[in-house]
Amino acid sequence: MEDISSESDCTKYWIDWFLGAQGNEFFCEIDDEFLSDRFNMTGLNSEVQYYQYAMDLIMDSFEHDCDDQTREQIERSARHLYGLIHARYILTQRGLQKMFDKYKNGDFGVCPRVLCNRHPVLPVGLSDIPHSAPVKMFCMKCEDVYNPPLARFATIDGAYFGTSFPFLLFQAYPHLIPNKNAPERFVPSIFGFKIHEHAKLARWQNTRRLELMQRLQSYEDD
Amino acid sequence: MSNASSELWSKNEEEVEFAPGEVMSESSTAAGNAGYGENSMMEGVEKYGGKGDERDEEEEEEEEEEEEHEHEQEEQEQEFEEEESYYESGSSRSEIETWISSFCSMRGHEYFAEVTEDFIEDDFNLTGLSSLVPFYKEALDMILDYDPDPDESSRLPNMPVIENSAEQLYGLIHARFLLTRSGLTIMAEKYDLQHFGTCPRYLCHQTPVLPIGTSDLPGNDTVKLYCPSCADIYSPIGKEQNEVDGAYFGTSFAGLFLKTYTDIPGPLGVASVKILAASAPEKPNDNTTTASKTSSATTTTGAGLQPKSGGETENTNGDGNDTTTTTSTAVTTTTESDIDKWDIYDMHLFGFKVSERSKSGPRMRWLRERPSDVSELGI
Repeated sequence: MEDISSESDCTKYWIDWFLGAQGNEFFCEIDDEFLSDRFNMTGLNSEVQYYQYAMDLIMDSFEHDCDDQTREQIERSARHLYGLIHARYILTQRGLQKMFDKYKNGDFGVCPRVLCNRHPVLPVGLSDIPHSAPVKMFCMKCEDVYNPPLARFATIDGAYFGTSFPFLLFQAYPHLIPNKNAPERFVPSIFGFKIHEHAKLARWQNTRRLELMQRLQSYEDD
Repeated sequence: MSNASSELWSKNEEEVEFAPGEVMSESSTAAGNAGYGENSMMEGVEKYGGKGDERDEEEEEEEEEEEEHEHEQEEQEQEFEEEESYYESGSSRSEIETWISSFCSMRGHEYFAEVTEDFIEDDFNLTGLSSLVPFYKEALDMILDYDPDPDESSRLPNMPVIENSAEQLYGLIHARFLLTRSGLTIMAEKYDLQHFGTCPRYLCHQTPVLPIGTSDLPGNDTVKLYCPSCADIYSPIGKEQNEVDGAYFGTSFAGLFLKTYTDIPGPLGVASVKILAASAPEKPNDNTTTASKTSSATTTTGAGLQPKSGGETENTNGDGNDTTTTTSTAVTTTTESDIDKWDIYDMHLFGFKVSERSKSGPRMRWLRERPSDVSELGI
């Protein structure tokens, strides 16, 4: 990560600095209103070291004198705390709105799968418990998770986005769900002839898809 | 990305000592090793050998300008080589970087194998390419590092045009070369070293991928990466790789490669390959070959891959013999763990699976689904 302690001394707004740092492009800005409500922080003080100092740092009201080592520790705690609050914030209406804007902008990148035609992706965690797994990218078109393309995102904790966020976003904004009625399928071939077992598998998968369509139809009829 | 590639190159460096491409003809082996060695020493930007000043320059260059400079540099390099050849009279070609090795070590050309000169010199292998590539003859001369005819050189268009043709011609020859036995062997070495990268899909657990084209005609689409585990294609991460034409690898290579090296788990896994081979009555020999195959190469990322047919032991890496004896007991465990790899990602909302009945519910599970029993496919 970047050298924080030297910069933050002269930075007025900690959150602005944090969001501008390289590797933090996926984060959105948390409202002061959300930050100042202690109810939203329930349980976080046991998770984060120097909780109160870290909170002060995020709120730009940190005025304590301490040695460099402690200072660095508090910085790290503040970043961790911001991530954990972020995971909660993006599940609120305002948070979803902000992430929706970022999604529309394509801030999270696109799906690496060729047949998804550069469909935008969303950050997702594989666990809600911190320090379990780095952030992954979820594509709604193929409904699969991918490793983020750049190495600098591999250090970001998946718990800062949570396991539920993308799916809540699509519940809240159903018009974002892409059309999946005519999905494309890649079947490898040699000299133009499809490889036997792959073609068989593709047909099998297609029957699974048609079964699903039938089930969906029956739900609608009910 | 940069970390990963530097690791690859350093890995490569180690590997070269143990496994020189023995199948290649002697001259090209020497050239190839020289190319690899240089790569491993100068990772990332520093790709050009022999000229310290120019390398320093290149480090400072902006990415946008790079394309231009590359042409310029190669032009100079070409001239440089021509000058050299007067003194050296072609006797020790391995000391000078050939056009082919410099092309393959360019940034973004990490996927290319070095085509052997024997293959290019055989006119039969080039049938039909003259109509696809402008300045075919000059381009071919450039690839093979032949000195241009002094009478004709005055009438020729400027070097970048021919350079461009040479790249296109090399790419098309490359696509044909990959389908030969020596091409497949070279690519198997590169695959082992993960030169093509790994699958971006999280649940494929870093399965190494293969380059593939979506069209066999140049100019249609850029190169893609095929993952044997999920049988899907992905775009390369790097900007430079995304500019390489897919026709330079072709649509058939990945399929043929996986048919040759059957110990790489496919979408149905190693176990299914064994079942398929055992259940095929018209091929009685396959039982024994698959058995030896799976026992000799249990891990895809380990030491050398074994080709399908038995009589090609001269192609394998030097340490190939060791693996046959040591890892034969691990067969059953690896095949079982391969089956476990077909996880499908489930959408969860606060710990609960999103229902099919929901508008935002799962609709694409079939894409990653596999039958629990291969016989369900009726193969």
